[in-house]
Amino acid sequence: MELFERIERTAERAQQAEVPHVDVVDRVCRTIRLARPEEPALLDTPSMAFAGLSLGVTVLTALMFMPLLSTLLDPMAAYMNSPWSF
Amino acid sequence: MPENTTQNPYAGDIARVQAAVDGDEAAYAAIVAEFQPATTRLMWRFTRDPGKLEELVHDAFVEVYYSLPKYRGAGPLGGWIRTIAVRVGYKFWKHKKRDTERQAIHEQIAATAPPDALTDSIPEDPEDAHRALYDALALLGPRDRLVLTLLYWENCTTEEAAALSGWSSSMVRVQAFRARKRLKKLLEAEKNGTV
Repeated sequence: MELFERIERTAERAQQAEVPHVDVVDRVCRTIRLARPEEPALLDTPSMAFAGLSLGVTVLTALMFMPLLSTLLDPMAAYMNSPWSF
Repeated sequence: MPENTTQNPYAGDIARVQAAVDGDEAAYAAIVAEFQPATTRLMWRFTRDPGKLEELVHDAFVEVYYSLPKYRGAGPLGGWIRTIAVRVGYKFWKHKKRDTERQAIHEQIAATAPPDALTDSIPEDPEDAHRALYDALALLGPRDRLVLTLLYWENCTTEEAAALSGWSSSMVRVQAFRARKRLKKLLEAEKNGTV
């Protein structure tokens, strides 16, 4: 009998071999649940506190830069209002 | 996802996949439960270790889950899952430490397999046949092994093997020709004890 004929016959018989029982339903569901990113709650307390803090820092930063802005917008007026003006 | 699903013979599959994509875990669990016996049978061609088998089936279904948005209903869902499972199995073979594995297979054949399982006789017991075929094909590299597994073990036509592996039909034919030649040489060497 030719080698590949024997392989074909062996394969036919091997197809009748028992396959171990496997149940992965729960495991797969757990994996995809863990991999799925949770939707962030937009209005929970830490988010609101962080948003408030960020806003406060932004406003303070803007106020700090106000003199610089006014200087840039009107340099002569800024000079006249400074203690070094004549 | 196609808009007009009423014309499609696989509209039911599309609806189930859509439900799973929309986050219905029960819908996906039902898909896994339905197709896991066939997938397990297929993955049993890729490993003979029951622990690894479970891992491979799990990995295949995780891969299927992430590919669900790509399912277009061009064929039955089972066939589509089978394609993904074959590729997961092939990847598993590719990533294995081939040399170590082959060495182990040689030792295993020498120690446990019925002598000349594929060269002299056909094993009567399906378990022995499964082991003999698995061990013989394990002598080959992943590409050769995949093509012969699909053609001989899965009884695929060249076209089916091409669809499952993602290769062209001519590539499958050429690969199969080379794989047969290599396997014959390896089994003869095995028989003569020159490996």
